[in-house]
Amino acid sequence: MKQEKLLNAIGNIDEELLYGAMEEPALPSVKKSRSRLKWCVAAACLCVLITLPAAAANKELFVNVWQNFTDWEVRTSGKIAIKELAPELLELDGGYYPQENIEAAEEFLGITLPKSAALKEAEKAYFHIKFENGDSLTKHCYVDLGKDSEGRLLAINVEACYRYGNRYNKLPVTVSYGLTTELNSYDNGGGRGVTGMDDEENQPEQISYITPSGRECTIFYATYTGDKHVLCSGYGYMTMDNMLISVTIHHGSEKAVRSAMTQILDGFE
Amino acid sequence: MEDKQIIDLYWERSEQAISATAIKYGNYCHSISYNILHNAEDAEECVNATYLAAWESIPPNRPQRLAVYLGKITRNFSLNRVKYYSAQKRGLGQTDLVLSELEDCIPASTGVEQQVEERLLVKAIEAFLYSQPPEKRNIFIRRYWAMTPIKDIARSFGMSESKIMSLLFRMRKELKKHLEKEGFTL
Repeated sequence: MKQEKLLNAIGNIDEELLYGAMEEPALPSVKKSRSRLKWCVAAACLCVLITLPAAAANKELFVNVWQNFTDWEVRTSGKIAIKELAPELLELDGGYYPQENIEAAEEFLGITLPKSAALKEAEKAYFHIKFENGDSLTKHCYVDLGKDSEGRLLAINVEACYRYGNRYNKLPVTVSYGLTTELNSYDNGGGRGVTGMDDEENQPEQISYITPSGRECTIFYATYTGDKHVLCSGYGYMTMDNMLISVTIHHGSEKAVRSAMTQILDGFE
Repeated sequence: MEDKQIIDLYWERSEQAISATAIKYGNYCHSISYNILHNAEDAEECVNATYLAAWESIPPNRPQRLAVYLGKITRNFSLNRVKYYSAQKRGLGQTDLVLSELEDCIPASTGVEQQVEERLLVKAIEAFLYSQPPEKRNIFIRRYWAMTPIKDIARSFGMSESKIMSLLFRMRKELKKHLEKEGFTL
């Protein structure tokens, strides 16, 4: 039967293709559903920052550049959030690029990302996080970019976050989001396994600093799993010449976050 | 547990490998099988067969991506079960639907060498999928690789069922064009 041939052929396609599509169980458990909902909330917070200004400005071509990315949930829920928040962006197109294809994304966007040093720094920062129980983490870095219909870069969100290796969200500690809709606000990003993030007495401390080029940033940091684990979020936000740039970096040492933020922000000078 | 650790357990011939696989990928494999078979018990059997096949094939294999590796095995077992049931003329839910949806993608058949043709067909489908935006590609794969019901895909991707159906319809048409352009007359 010819359909069967096609079905068999589809069954033998490159694993690379399957990898992106099939990471999630198609019939998630209740726990998984809850987890996904929380991830959606977190992603929604992320996307408010990125999409709303862009939506107001113009139709947006939204490209995600992922580094070492193995977590489909954020991608998917992020997309959902984008569409819910900015339905006018239905023409939004997206791409998930493994690290080796970042150059292609750059070509597509027509820009050169000031990413290398910054993300490397962010990656370094990640290795500072260790859990007392000896568990290891999976590192994720990704860069989100938005561009308007005329090709101007609208937004960049550079983020580095860890995720526990097990995708069933068994997070003994956080991958907290410093996602904000305005400077100095803070959202814990829900569903990250964070305990205490909603506790008023346990709010993250904020430190403001100015990059050498005069960009104001805020770092949020707090310890949630004992004093060994400092979780940081850096955040930068600015407009200039119709350009909005927002940057968040999470979970590094303060030094690493500052360094990465500075490199990214000043890279747009 | 990380995939690498699970695979190491297989290589060490530790039976814990199976339980670790079941914990991490049991639902995933079951969902693939269930989408094809629409029968929980059959799906369970296929999943167990998958564990056994993994046990027997690792080593010598060392899958780069355990989820995909297990998913493929599960899919094959489940489709074989479908064939078995088809012979018995039983109704099978998504599989028949998927087959009927794909029917129009393939031009009329000729006598091309089957094995070569199959390989080329796989390559052509891969090229088609790689040319698609990731979201569309993933939706296609979820439907035609994993045979996920439309409503589940719609929920996963935050779209309406009608939008998913329309997207798949357009993709099937594009795929048909692509296959014709590549000279496939299966």
